[in-house]
Amino acid sequence: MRKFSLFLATLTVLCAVLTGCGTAVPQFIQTETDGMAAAQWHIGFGDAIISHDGLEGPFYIAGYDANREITGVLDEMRASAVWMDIGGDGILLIGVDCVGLGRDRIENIRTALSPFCLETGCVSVNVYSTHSHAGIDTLGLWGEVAKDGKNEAFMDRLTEACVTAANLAHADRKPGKLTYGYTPTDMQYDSREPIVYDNHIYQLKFTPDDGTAGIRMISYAAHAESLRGANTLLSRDFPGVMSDLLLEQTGDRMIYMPSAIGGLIMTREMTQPDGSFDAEKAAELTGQNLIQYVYQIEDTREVEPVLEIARSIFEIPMDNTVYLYYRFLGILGNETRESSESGTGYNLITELSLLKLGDIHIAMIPGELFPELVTGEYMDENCQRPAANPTAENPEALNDIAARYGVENLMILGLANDEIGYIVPPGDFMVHPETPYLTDTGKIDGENHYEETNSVGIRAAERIAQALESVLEAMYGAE
Amino acid sequence: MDPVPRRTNEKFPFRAAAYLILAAVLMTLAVCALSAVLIRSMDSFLLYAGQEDFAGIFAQLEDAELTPHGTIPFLLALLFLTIIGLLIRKIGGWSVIPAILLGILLITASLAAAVWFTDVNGIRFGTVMLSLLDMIQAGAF
Repeated sequence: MRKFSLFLATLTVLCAVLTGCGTAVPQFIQTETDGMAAAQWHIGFGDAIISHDGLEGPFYIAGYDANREITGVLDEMRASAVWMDIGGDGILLIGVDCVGLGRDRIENIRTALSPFCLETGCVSVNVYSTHSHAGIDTLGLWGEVAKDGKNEAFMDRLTEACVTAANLAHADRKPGKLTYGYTPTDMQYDSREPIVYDNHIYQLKFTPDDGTAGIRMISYAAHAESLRGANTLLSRDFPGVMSDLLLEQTGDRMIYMPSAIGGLIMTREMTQPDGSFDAEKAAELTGQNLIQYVYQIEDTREVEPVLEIARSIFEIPMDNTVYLYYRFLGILGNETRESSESGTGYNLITELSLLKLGDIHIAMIPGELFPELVTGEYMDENCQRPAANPTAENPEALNDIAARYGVENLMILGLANDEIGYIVPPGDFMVHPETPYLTDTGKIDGENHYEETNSVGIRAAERIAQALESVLEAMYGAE
Repeated sequence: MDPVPRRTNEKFPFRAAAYLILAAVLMTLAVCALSAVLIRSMDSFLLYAGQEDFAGIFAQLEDAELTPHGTIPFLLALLFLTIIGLLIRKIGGWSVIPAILLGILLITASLAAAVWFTDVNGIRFGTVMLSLLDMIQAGAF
């Protein structure tokens, strides 16, 4: 009896330790060739329309005011997938033309892709949103107030489209070369100080050896909302225009990857010569102009066939009471864990991954990152207003963290594998003193601090920086 | 000679304790099940109270993932059943009114505890109610 009790106790402790370790250690995957040939890029593209035809509504349009239904269709939402391997196991990147996808939906897509992954040797499925502000609500925040605005039948179709796109991408895979390049643009606008954003448009271009159509992964720091707020027509916005133009003019397929767009980075409003605003023409003009910049990317270099990914699942203290209410009502699908370190008593669980393509590193951030968190260019004396929370410490810049591990080319992919909202620098973080997170501050310091009302809390930025450090350490060893 | 051996006061009443624990467990299971029904029916109560807007919001709890936490309801049930049992032994027989009153208190307290400590979609019901109360007092709604 005593031996059995000892055995049980040991087993209990072992399980506790293993369970605890399982959630703390980042996962690192280094893909290799199958041993038959030298490493070479094999990349494929697939896409599928996410249609709401035949489904019973309502279908709320996401991005601006709540409780507005779509009134027509400019162009349909899509799931676009890129399969990548270097001759062995592969990694999937799926972009969805929507405002955002919660981690519960990402897990749902991953589960639906389990048979595909077993069959194809896919070791990592990564899903991001283009952040289109003219898509059907996929987060549940744009229905009637405090009511889930998602249409579950449509969300099932979204998952199905991701599975279809993934299968098509794998079937399309071909050997070829991958190149990297970028060029500056003059298209953006930052609505909140400090005025900091990356004005470059980046391109990872895959050219198959057989001369058939290529694939372009375009990264740019701008909210996909050139149609602006009055629009109620369903659309992919300018990423859709870019994709269609590129296909028509070159035959190449494209995915659009939003970069660090928090704070709030968008393309400038494209007005007509008479000063009026036509939403459809604005989206067309924005897409046309951006494609012209893409064609200007000349100085490119080849990307060595190295494919690795590291992922960290971590927690952020959830101070935002609206997030608490929405989780309680089942609108927000993220897992939470009870914790005394947050204002609500709960931490939100999310993830961050680092994708390595040659010497290019793409940090997949689960939300809308303020660009100053990447560069370290925080509020200073040159700004028109003082920092709202000067005693709070801003985390080390993501570029600086990456540089400590020898990473010079850090790209950001936002809204990846989750959408936790804005990730705001703590030094400028301010909430309403009486009704925090429910209302913005009003312009008490010249800024209404709207982004804070759609953030997990003040510690999100610090936890993102820590998560990036942990995946860099998993990939390169301790610094 | 008495054919049935009497229990002396020195011996611990194991059988009575076992019945007590069993009764507390059954009571806990019942209140946890009832608390789930109450939470899922919150919209009906709010409608009855004339709060249509809030009823529409809380109707979303009909499909919620509920995880009851039975520890506090169990301890409350154990406490009240012990008090009832001791009262019955002291008075020397069933005393209807105190037993009923205590029974009502027991059920109400256990049910309230069960509802309060139930996790709704991973969030404790009581935590949300306290937070909403703060917001209401701050004039948010």
